[in-house]
Amino acid sequence: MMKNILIELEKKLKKYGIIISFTGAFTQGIIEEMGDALKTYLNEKKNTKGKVYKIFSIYIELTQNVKNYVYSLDSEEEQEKILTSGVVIIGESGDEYFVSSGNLIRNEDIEPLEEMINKIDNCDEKELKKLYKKRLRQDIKKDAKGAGLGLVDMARKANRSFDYEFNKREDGYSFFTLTVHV
Amino acid sequence: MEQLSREAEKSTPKVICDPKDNYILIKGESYPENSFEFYEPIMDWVEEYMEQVNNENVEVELSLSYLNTSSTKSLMCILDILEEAYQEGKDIKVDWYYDEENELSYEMAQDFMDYLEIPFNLQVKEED
Repeated sequence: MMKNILIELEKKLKKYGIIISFTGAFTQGIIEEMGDALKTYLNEKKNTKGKVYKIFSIYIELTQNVKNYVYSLDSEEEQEKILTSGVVIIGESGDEYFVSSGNLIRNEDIEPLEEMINKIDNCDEKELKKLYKKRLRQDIKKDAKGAGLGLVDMARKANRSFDYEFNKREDGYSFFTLTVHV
Repeated sequence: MEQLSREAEKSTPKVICDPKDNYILIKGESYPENSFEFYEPIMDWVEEYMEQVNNENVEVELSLSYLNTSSTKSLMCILDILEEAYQEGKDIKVDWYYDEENELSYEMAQDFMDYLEIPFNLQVKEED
């Protein structure tokens, strides 16, 4: 039985070009250890340092965004539910890499997030730089924990627009996935 | 004033704040879980130190290969304190070391420089 699971899983991982995947609560320790493995892998693949840090930074922002979202919620029960729903994958597709994260999100939080993503997706490089600067100042003033600056930062490093989806469930939550190509 | 220093850890940089040598160093990668918690004592130190600086020559050495966005915010706050002191006429110089193969470290400096008048001296980093 176990052997079959592995064969099945190995086929899937190969098919989608997945190098590293993790599901469960992202603790800082796990984020750091996986980040190390990612850097080692990318260095061994002879990527330039700039590229390694680009991919690494997207991985860090995505995983830390999930955590920031979790800690912005008041109920501990809800925090736990969302934290443990987390999944991150890093993979290769053609000549680019991708980093995807997934987590539960409260349905009422979808609208502002989707608005933000669309706004960022419609910006060119210059507009992104402007938005980044504005956000940096705003966030410092408000001590904001929102995903704003992280998303803008990822967009500036990404090759193309974000892929994202909200899959609504019965219980007032949706499963949010975000993929950044780099 | 006491010296403040931190050894580099996996997600936090090496920090030296030395009031005797008028020297501040932040070096490494920065992506801690709570950036503000890490940088707050450094902000407080820099603020207090800048109040007592007169005509000394202050050297700030930044050698950062990666900053997550929340560390960027914290560093921006520190640079704002330095900027204010610079605007008051204090003698502060920032040396930013970057790795030629890591364009991100160069772009980070450019982003900060857009906000600040304080001179940034961009230098290619020698091998560690």
